[in-house]
Amino acid sequence: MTDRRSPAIRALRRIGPRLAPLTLIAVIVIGVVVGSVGGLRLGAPRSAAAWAFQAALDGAVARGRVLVAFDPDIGTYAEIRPAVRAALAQLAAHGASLSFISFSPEGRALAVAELDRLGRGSVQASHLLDLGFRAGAEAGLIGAVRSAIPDAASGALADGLRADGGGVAAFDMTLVVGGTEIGPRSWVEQVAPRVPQLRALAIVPTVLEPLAAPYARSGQLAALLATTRDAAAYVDLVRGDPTVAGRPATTISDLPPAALPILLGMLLTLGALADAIAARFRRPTDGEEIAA
Amino acid sequence: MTGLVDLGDGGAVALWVAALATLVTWSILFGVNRPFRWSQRLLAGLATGYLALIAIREVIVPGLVEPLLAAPAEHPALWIALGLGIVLLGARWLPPAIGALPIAVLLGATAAFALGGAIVGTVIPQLAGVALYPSATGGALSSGIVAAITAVLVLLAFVHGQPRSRAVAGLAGAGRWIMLGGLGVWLGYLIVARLALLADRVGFLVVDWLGIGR
Amino acid sequence: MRRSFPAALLLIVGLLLLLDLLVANPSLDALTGGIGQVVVVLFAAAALLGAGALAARHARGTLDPDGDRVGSTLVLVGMAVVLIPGLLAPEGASSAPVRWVVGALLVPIGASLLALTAVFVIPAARRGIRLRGHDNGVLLLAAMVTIVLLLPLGGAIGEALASAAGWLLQVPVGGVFAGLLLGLALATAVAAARVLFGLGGADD
Repeated sequence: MTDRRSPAIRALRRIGPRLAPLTLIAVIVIGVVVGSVGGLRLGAPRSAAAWAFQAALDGAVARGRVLVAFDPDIGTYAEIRPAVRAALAQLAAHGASLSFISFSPEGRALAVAELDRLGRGSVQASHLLDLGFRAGAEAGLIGAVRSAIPDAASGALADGLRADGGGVAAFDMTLVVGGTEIGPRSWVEQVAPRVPQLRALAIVPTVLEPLAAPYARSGQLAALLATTRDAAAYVDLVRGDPTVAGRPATTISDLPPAALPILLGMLLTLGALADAIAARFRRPTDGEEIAA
Repeated sequence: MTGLVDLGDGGAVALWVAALATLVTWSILFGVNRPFRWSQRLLAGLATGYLALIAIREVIVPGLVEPLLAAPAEHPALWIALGLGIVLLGARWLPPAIGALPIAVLLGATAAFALGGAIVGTVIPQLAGVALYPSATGGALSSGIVAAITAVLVLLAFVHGQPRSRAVAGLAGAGRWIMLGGLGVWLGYLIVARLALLADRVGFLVVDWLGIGR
Repeated sequence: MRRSFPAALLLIVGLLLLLDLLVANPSLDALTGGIGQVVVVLFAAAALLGAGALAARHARGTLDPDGDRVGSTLVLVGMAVVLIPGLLAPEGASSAPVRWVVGALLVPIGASLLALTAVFVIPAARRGIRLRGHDNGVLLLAAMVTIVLLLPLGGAIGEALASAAGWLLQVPVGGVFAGLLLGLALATAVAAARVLFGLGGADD
């Protein structure tokens, strides 16, 4: 059948799918260069998840000994990094001690970098503890329930934890920074039945929302941040946090990306997806067949 | 900086290396496959090297070698671990019945953790969570009913392949479409999250590396 | 039913660990603690075995004139730039050279690869809808509605959209995920039980 559309439209249809990726990059570059624009905000307005997370980190247990189970994936860490850093800053501002443990190699690589950053920042060395890496995924988790403090760890914090049994139960709270290998599901399934009194909060990338959200709804997780907009809303809350009701001022060094590049990317993606659905119902031209 | 980790004292060189690594990885956008494949190979090497490094430095040495050297008689389990570890490393040269022993321990432990965790940590609490609370009223009650019906239909769709009546098959079919819709909603969230990742990397190149809009 | 020694060992290890979850007993706890130590060391040994196999394969690849010699060399270089300084420095993985390699190479390449998925969603959607039209049509339509609800707008419109997106994720999709998680957990439990008890030909 002959295509009766104009040559320009046919040419656009042929090369459009090929140019879509570069066009997406181009609009995001434009968005990044333009920067902040009034009337846009990445953080979800009135995010219940963000409020609940902030409130949980204001609780009494968040002022004690916090175990940071740090297992994000390298690929998706950028998505949750501002929220993770805001949570660590909020905990540090409350005077909590932060003990990092990892059960995945990628998590360990990022934990080393975060510990280094925190050590060079405002957190006192006596409030930071590196518990290292545990191999064996679930076996490592259960091993940490028995003993989480390595023999080489020294200082008042490590000694205090050892005096209280040295296992996960010696901590007042766990902040699970999850990834594909180890995340809230592993913690809820393996640690919670063994240490039911331990309060667990989690931050995970959006890809893990389906595996984490049911645990937050059932109360097995005290609070959860699992979408980009809730995470950004939480950062906004902590940034705008006035020093009221005993809540100390929190310094935030890492912000989520600006809303404009993401908005432009979303609009372009919407158009492309609509075109993909429409293409299902129209007869493809020869050029489109080749481009596909 | 919007880079993923702070690069410390070697920051300037690291910034350039990170930017070039990003550009090489994105070469596929211009239809250039080979540098993209090379960046994948380099990533595989780096990740495997890191895994081997922490396996040696943070597990084998402090968890096996040092305790056995310090007090050999106090750690019988570690002697078994050492023996099975050596068998695992040399399994290809050993009779299958011996080479399979460490695999059996690993499989038994993994299966037990998976079975126990799934039942005690997920199935029982989640079944209780799906059940409706009698005290709920108004919007909470209607939301609870919607969520509970959805969960049951999706669970029916998930347990496919079993012989069942026409009515159950119909409900499972409805559950399948609802599941697809739910996964579509999740895909929408995921696309936005990936766009945020892309904006972060572009921000790293444009702002941190090129210094535009700093 | 004939059981080999490895299959019996598998069953004993699995049953002891399951029993430890259900029964609080100090002797059993000590025994399963020992099993846990063995398992952790075995996982680390398995990681080393995998790394060694990869290194050996690519060492051969560097000599293969028909293979990707540059690619194989890069795998070995990648391993070396992490392993050599990490093994030599007293701080190991926390040493400055390893942190530098992680920050300058490992993380940027990993993050750039994942960021590409945003770009390739569009061609993947085209291909998917061509292959499984109705299923993927529902999937993409739901995704499009969600993206509209997630548009990062401020003001009253932004609040209305965000509130609709939140309800969608919390209630109907929450139900979907609860059903999926239960299904996944049941499937995991069944698969694990089959491995443990040697059902369905998993004996030896």
